[in-house]
Amino acid sequence: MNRRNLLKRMRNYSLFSSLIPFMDIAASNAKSSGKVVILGAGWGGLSAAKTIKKISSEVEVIIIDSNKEFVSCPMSNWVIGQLKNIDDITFNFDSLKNNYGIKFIHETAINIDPEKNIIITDKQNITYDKLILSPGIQLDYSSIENWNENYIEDFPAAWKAGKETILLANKIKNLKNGGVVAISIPLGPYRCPPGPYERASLIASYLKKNKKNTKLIILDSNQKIVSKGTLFMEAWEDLYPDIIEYRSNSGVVGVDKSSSTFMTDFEDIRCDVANLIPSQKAPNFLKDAGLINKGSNWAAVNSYDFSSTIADNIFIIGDATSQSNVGRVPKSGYVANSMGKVCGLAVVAELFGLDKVSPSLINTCYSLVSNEEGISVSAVYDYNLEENKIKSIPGASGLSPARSPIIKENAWDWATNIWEDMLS
Amino acid sequence: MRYFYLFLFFICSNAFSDNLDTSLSLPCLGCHGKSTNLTIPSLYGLDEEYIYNSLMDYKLDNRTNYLMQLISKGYSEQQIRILSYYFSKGYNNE
Repeated sequence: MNRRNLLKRMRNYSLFSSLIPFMDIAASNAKSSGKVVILGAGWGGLSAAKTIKKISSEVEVIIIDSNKEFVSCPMSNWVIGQLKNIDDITFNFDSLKNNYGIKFIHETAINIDPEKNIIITDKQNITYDKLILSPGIQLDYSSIENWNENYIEDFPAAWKAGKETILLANKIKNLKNGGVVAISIPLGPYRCPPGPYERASLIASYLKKNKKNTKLIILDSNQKIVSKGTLFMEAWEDLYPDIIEYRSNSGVVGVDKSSSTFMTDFEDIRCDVANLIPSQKAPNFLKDAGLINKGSNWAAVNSYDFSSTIADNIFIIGDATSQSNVGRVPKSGYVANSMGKVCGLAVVAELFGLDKVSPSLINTCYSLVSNEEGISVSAVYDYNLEENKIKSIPGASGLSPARSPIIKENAWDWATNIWEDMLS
Repeated sequence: MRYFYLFLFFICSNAFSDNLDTSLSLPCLGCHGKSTNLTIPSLYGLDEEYIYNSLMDYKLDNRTNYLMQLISKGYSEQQIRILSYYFSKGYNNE
């Protein structure tokens, strides 16, 4: 869809055009109406799949993901902070298969042929009418000197929930008194802006109670805390003055495996636990498929419906999308969930040749600052026609006033609810 | 589902224009679902006027909840009317 058509649609928009389509869809149950292939069974992909099936059950929906279970990235810091077990954040896809007829193919996507409408996995070629890519992030260690991919055990990122989450959680649990934990934070944009600071808080909270004389050094590539800065700082000064050392402009540039050392531009830090969260970008195969503009690390999309600006019949949602196209929305689970819904509606509209509805998104992001208290940030977003971007609505974004125990409860209940929204 | 949209269409078609429809409620479902035993309330099946008044009170800062005071300001009075209708009736029509 070009911009001119899009503007025309926006001008002609009415309640009639936005509701009649979906009534038509519900009335046309008998027709076979297309095949949607979704890459990625995460927050974006599952939300898109369920949205499509809820509106139009006759559309065939296939999800490709090598993972056979959903392990939630949001709340995985609770596992690292010893508040929850990995089983508490791991779910199966049974309900989506049985209740919605969504098919799962557990293979690895290797490439896309946009000309032929084919996605290629390690085992087969799969055709599509519409392809939704929600592939998440690729960790980029290229700027880390001496890096070797076998070093993951020594320097886990734990930035995709799963094995490395368990590995890091066990390292924290088995740490000796008097040790040093270090966390390296990459330059933005990266997945989950407040995530590294929440992780630091939860590790510090655990150390305070369980490991005497142990330090937590935060090596931040950024000039200051990227998200919820004041609230994190206040909590750290009040709760962990003798534990947390925060160093801005000090990201890790190299490692030494034999001595378990982080190197920054200024110093070498020997660590007992070294959590290296590297820079991030959209997965390489998006670039190979030509879906990323030259000079960018993220996928180029139209902000109105998250369709690719480069290839027809392809949509890209979630963390892999470029903020310079979409607008200033964080790479968060909640945003991916909202994007999945917008994209799911848009895909159905295209399959049936109908008008698209203007996007509406929410982000609410909870972070714990200790094992007892949480903070949050929220925003409501819509589509800004003049700027052709998703923008937060004035007055509808901001932080929680102060840390509190109820926000911790809200955080877990939010997760419980949004998992259900996507998975059952 | 179709009857729900049909019903909503008749209820709302005289009053509103622009992009107001049930897609507006989808992002809300991230927090407000069907479970009733959580600290974040389910809105399904609550009285339409109660939901409307609550959201308007949050929007006008006449009711206190830091988070809902922010979120409610993201919606116009007409959109709040749509959302209230959806949550009061939506569950029974899914």
